[in-house]
Amino acid sequence: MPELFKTPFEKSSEGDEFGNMVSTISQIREFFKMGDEITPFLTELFAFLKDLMPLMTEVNQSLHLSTDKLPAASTSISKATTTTEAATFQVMDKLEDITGKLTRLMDKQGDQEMDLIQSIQDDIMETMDTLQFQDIAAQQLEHANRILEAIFNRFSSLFESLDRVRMTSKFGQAILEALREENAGENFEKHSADFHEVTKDIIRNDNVSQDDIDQLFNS
Amino acid sequence: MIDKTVLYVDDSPTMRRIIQNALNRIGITNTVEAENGKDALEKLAGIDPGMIITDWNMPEMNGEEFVRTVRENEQYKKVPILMVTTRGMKDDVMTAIKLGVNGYVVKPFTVDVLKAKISDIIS
Repeated sequence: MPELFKTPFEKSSEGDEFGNMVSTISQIREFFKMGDEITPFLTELFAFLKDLMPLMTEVNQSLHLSTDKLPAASTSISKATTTTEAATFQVMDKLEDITGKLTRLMDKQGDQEMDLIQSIQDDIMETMDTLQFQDIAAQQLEHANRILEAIFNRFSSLFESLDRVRMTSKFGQAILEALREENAGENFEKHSADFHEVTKDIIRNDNVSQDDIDQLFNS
Repeated sequence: MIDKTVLYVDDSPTMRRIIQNALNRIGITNTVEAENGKDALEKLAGIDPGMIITDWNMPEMNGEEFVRTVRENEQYKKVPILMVTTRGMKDDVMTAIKLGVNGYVVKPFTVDVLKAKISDIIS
């Protein structure tokens, strides 16, 4: 092509630079165009996160409280097994005792009474067999116990991870600070008290004997 | 019913007592009890077992491991085994059969059922 018909920018490297500049401006314009589209979405997202913060804080607190209760629940389940086992043994002792007495009674009775006594003894043995429920219930409780322990372990590791984030990342610390400010007015102690009230141990504590209770009444 | 010793294995004291009582009513009085698979293996060494009745869910060594160990032992591999357990799923029964268990009773059982299963096994 003759030199005369070339555009001024095609004539030199300056033209190349200008072309690049136009391209860059075009890209920036596209970026801002995308920004215009994305801004409402980001605004929505921030508003959503702001609404979510109190909820997340409450969830976090509730999880902590629930997790703290899990070992106690697990111990209660284990105690239930021990208690029912002891009670079942007492019932068995009584039943065997009655069977023994009936056997002695048999020796002194006629045939008619013998049949009746035998029938009573059979009923007693059947009653004894039904006490298998104690073992079955104990195994079901044991299963529930294992689930509680697994949940406790999972939450414990989750909280450890969260604590690590808070300690090591500025982002985590900033979020925590924001949460504190956002929820400064929330009455979490009230929620905590309600939770304790609902989940408190209502079963008699074995550490207090009947004598201790009597002494308390007499003092 | 059985001349040799019957070994019954269950971690629950309640169940051990009920099984013992049931065996006596069936007419089996030569019995030895064990708390789990590990304990049962130790007890086996001191007896001539005619039959083993075992639970499945037990601490230390469960019924599955115990039966497998017994079946791998040349001395005890032909001893009849009855599994008495709360596990009543089909898969559980299949597993027990594959392990080499001869009979399977789901808790709660009645003496009649226990007696029938023992008769089946020893015959």
